[in-house]
Amino acid sequence: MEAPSALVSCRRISDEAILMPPSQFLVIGDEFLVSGTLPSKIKKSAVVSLSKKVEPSTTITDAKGLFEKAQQLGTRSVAGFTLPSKILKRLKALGVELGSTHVRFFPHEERGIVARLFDARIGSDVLLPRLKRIHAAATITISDHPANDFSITISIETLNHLPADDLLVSVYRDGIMEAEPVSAKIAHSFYCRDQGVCEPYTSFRHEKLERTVYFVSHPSE
Amino acid sequence: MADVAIDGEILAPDDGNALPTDVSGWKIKITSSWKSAAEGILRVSKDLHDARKSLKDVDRRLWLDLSKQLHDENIISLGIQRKLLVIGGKYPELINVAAYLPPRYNAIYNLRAFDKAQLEKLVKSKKLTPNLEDREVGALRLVDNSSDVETVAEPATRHSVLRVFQTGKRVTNANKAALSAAVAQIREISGFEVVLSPKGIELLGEDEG
Repeated sequence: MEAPSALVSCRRISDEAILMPPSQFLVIGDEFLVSGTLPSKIKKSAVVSLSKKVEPSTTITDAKGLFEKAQQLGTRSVAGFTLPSKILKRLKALGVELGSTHVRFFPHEERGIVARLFDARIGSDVLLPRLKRIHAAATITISDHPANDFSITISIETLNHLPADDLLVSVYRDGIMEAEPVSAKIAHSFYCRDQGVCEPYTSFRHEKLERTVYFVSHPSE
Repeated sequence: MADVAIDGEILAPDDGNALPTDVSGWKIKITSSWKSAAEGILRVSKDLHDARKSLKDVDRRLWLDLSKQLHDENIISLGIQRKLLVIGGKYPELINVAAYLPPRYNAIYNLRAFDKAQLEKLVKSKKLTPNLEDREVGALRLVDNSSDVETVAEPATRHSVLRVFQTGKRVTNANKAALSAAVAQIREISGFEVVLSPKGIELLGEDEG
């Protein structure tokens, strides 16, 4: 069985896709799980090759359980917002410019839902023993509508893999974030997991230690 | 039920659908229908947005089921649903200017980048009107260049700059608007600041520099 042409855009996520009748597909990558519906119906469950790097496609018999497990991810949402392509592009560019490692989405008291880019390594002497740099963070307002309290952090690599499109984002209680591209030809969503890190919320120079001290809020609190 | 007059004559009920007989009556009727069409798109977008939020709060699969049913029963395709959901998310901003929106979901979707104040400004300046065609809405979108980034601490951000050089080709008034749109598009696509030559500033006005 050949890979449906609609899945070409998923090549950057993985070399393989799993198909299940009537028209469902799953792509499991390092950063994401992509799940969606194909425009045409398929007859048999199969693993299909999206690139020449892997073995030809094979049919499988037990795909149903896998699809059911994927459906159990992110069942109850806690917040939802639209991430416009223009802001996504700016987040990606600023992430490179500031050397950020993560971006956190959360509701700001005065500004609605915001995205904050930050460097998660900054507070750790283990990760950055000798690098003396000043922490830079950027905050971008995504939506000025009030939202439930939530917090979700994804890595810059994950952010960079998101398609350049307006994204319908849902955040779920189990720490799963879903991003659904608005203009895509096939209906599909990217699922990724909260990385559980927060930006330092304050820093100061400790005279005795002769070092900069960062206070970091614990993400689970 | 038919009304009964005092003298016993049975009169046809006034259903309020009597057709106008003059130009001004037809104008009022058509204008009202055209303007309420945009409001209808906003309403269904809000309903879809609310349904998605409400069902996902309980179980994401309930929303998937509804979305699939709307698609499979040829009511709203999945692609259109996604655009309506974006419009639904902007309902509070858009409903205030509903009478000025072109009654097409794609045109309204293209206005998604504008906030409430910007939309009101467009209405005030008469740039946003119900007779706009899709490409004109696209052009409105391109001139939006607002920024809402707050950067804290160091380093100071450096903005990449793309320099546009004069090509020697004569720019007439007729293609000035197209050139303006092209410059805005370069900004949009590249994310670069666009620096015009003195001649470019003279041609396109101070604001474009």
